[in-house]
Amino acid sequence: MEPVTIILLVVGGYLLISLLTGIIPGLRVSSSVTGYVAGDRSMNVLILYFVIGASIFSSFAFLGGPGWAYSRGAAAFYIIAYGVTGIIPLYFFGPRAWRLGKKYGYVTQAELLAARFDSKLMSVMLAALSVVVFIPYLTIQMKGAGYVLNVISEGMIPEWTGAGITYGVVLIYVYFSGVMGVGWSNAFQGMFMMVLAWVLGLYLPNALYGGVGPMFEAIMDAGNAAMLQAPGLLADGTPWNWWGFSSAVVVSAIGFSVWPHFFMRSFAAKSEKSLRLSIILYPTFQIFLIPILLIGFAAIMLYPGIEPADSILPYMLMQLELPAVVVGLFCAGTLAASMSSGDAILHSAASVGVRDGIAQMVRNPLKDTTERTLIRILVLVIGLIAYFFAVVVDISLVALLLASYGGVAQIFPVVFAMFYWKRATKAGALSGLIGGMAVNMFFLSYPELKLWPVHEGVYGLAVNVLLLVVVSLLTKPDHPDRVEKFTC
Amino acid sequence: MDSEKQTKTKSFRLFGRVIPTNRVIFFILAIFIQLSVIWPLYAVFSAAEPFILGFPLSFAWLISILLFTFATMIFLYITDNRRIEQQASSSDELEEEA
Repeated sequence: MEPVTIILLVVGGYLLISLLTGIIPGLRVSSSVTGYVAGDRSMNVLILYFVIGASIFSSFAFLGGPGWAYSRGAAAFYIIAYGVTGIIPLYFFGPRAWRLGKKYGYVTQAELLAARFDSKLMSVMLAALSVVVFIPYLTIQMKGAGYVLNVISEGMIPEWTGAGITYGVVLIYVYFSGVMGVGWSNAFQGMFMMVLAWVLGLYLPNALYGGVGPMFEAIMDAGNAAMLQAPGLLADGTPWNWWGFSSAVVVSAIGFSVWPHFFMRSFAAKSEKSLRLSIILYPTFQIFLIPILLIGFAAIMLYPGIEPADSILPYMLMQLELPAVVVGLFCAGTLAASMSSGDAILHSAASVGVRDGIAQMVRNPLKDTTERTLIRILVLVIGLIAYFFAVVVDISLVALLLASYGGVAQIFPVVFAMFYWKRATKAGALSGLIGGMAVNMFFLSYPELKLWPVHEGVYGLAVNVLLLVVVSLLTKPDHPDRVEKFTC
Repeated sequence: MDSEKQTKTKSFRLFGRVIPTNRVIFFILAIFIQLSVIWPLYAVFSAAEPFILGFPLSFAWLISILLFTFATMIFLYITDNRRIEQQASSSDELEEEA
């Protein structure tokens, strides 16, 4: 058999298993909105662990991680550094959100905030922000999938077909099964990726240099010590400074736990205890980023000057004479990384868009079945829009995504205030959120006006917190009944 | 009863809120962890050399902080579970007395 045929058979087998693990669990949940969006609050530790963990293993991490290590050295440690503390707030927010969700039926983050601050505007604003941020995120995942299939099949599969087939599968199981499809397929994809990441991350340095130590020594001996010294290099090859690195880590860490698709998994947990356990196990998932970065370091000496840097992993796979089955498995692993983030984003974007956006703007409350149908329609619409961007429009989406971290981080202060600060008011929360986002956008557009070379999200957060506190204290306290419900 | 409850779950007060001791310890460790992955603490361990188990110091430091974070979170989970169980049993006792 031709190597390409073997590779495609392996990938086809993987896609089939993903489809089955995605569809079958959906048959068991109720056909309500809670069933579709929060899996009837029935996720056990295993599934939650993979759903939470899969968010880190996107095609951005799988292709971008080695790409950063390859081109910017220690700067890639940023990818590990922000998750270290980024997960911690969820341990405290998650169980509170879960209790409120169980008692009052909430299934999204914006619903909680809108109820605490009695503001439809906030709900619609967060829904719009989520959809705007999620579409480029999803587009990147699709592009990654199409790209890998194209390279590995030696051009036989055009990028649009590769992205189309992969996301056709995702669309089917998200459409039918909702969050439970996302959960079970992520468990399968997660285990698959973990094994592959370690095998490849340890195999490459060993095969190419005789071990991890000799590999780093070779990089040092070749005069690349600056690449191994934190915080590494910028994209243009000059050293990154501590201001830039530290502020990027802090802003991403703050934003991490409040990403709407990540936060809303709290509602899907079976119990508070299983939610807390899945969260504290998160660092075990992060450890798998280590071999991913080793892959990128392994390429520095052997394949200099590859552009774009993100293509280094598929490039290496094609250069090394590996058995076709192995290449097929790695190709499937990259698809798993792309799909396990893509499905969660697609599902959340549609759920949030309908529940917090459309449902808030119509006069009469939507019927449960109508709402679920609308969410499904939006799954298809968002999937197609992202696909359109992936195959037609050629703009730098990675830059857009990294920029969106600063915007998402602005949700953190209001979420914190919702649970812990009784005196926070509607006016304070709204002005903080709007002010923070505006400042973030401003410095993103005009980086030359920054006083210090720190991430624009830091300026946004400073204004956000200031407005939240000052405006809240200047306005009349919110109704105590509403406040007590959230802070007790 | 009150004094008995206090010995069971030790706590601190901050801004009118009662914070259990295990969480106070965790917060202090979390601040240390955060500073370890950015300036200033990470800057102290940012050099490429010496190599530790084959990894440059900067990478080895980050990996050890990741493992330390995991240990700290396990500590929080276990102590939280113990505290929650104690609270549940003491509120049961109160109900029985009533």
